[in-house]
Amino acid sequence: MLALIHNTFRERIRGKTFHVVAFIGMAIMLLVTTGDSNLMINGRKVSGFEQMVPVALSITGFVSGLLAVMVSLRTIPDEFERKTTHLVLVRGIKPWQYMFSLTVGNMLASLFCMLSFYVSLVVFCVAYGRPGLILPTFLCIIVMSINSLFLSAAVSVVSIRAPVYVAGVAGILVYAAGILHGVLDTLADTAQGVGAAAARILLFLTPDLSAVQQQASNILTGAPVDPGPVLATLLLLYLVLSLTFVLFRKEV
Amino acid sequence: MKAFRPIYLLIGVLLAAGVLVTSLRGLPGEDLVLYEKACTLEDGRLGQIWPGLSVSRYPVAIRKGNAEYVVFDGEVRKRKPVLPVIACTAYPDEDRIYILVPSKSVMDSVGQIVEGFSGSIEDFLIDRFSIEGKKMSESQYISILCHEAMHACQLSRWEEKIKALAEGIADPGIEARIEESESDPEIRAMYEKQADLLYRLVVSDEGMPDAEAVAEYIRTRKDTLALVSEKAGIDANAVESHADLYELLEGTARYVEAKTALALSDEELYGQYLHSLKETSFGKEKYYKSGMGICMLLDRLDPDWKQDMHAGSLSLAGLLENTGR
Repeated sequence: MLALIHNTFRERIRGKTFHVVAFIGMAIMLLVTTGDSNLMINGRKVSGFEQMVPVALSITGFVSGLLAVMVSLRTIPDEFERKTTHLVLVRGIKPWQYMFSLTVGNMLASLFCMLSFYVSLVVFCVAYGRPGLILPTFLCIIVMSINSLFLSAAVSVVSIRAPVYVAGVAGILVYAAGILHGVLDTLADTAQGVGAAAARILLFLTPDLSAVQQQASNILTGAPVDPGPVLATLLLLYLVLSLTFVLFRKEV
Repeated sequence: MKAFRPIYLLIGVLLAAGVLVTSLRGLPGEDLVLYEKACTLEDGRLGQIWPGLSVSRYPVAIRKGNAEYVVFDGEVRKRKPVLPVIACTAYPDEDRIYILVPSKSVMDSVGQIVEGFSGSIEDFLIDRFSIEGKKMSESQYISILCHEAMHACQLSRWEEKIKALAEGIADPGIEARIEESESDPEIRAMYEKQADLLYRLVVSDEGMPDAEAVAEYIRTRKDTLALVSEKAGIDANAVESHADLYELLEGTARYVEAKTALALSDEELYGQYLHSLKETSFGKEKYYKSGMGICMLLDRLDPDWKQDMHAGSLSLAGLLENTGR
């Protein structure tokens, strides 16, 4: 299983898409953290390295989320298309072990993407003489990576049975619903009837990615961290990952 | 490989237990702290803002998710939501008047629902994707709580006054027709002029507002209402009662909100309330602002005007007209 995970991870980070998107992300990070930007937040000009760090982390979170979806989209369908599945299964590896390994490989590749963005931030922290920011930003990135890991796992699991484009759309929808979770939750609380019940179930199964981001922000600002949303997202990640034990395609 | 299953299962059990423990917590401590901070204003500061204004006198229902936490008399009681809405309001139920506010975290996630300031949809989306989402400040939350306490105070003390003004609005569809008329450029220009006059009067450095400028504001307000009546084809008295009612209910409450920010020494927030007068608003929001502005003017014209409000049957604009002479 470890060999399969390692192989998937290596294959993913070799992908052309990954390199292109990672390069764009790093370029954005470079511009955000170094330039005398015209960025305005709440009507105030944001300048100075410290003020730019949350902006850079926000961009990292956003780009990494999209990257997690893209990185995880094709891994499993490609295996079936290339008939690699057959070669793996005849060696005595069980289907669930295979799907689990591919999904974990995708998750690790997504995590790698996020950390690669973060490395450039570390370089700037050192260059600007702010090494004290390295630890809080690292902890912040670790918490934010839970979102990317969940997106990667969700897209991987959907791609076991559904076409690539369905998995992609599902990933984007889950990301959007996760970020807007608080608003959707509030709307669902005010609604009544069957639709409201369905909405509540859907929201129950979608992690509150925005709340996770908020906890990451709290680490950065030194505010109290609520473990609730982080644990809830990890539990959903665990459940999604567990689906790899039961899902498989009929054709091998 | 043999160890994989038990370890995997153990991780699941630990995560589920963690989620269960965190989900069993009741009302977040943050909301209770804010409620208590609002109550500390009862050391005389709330009384100065408005005589008889109090938060602790009324049960405060704080809604979070599918539950309401009623804070009253030092106790927190959980119950199912009474109203099927998430809003900031005050309402009578059985023999009590309740204040309803969403919890701070809900306010943070959806922005200010009914009262106060709100940004554009673009700002909202950027905010959602940002790790440092714009949150409502503590002062803002407490100010809104006091806004609703003012509504509770109105319900318990101005019943007759409210009834009389409401009776003046015979047609229940009047509000929609007034709002429709606001698309008329002439009416919009009049509202803009009215807002500008009020803003300049409120922020003026002079100790006592200029009587002529106050008279001009009153004239412009009357002309605007007359124009709305003419263009919308609504009885002039009904249009006036409508404006008077909302200025009285929401204007005084917004005034309390702004003054609470000042009582909390949040000059920046108070400045935002003052600045909001500069922007012309339409719909009900315009009455929130004009009512607040009139209250601020009355503060400078007659320090005892709030006592007169409780005792008399005059509207805010009527009181300003009398006092400004």
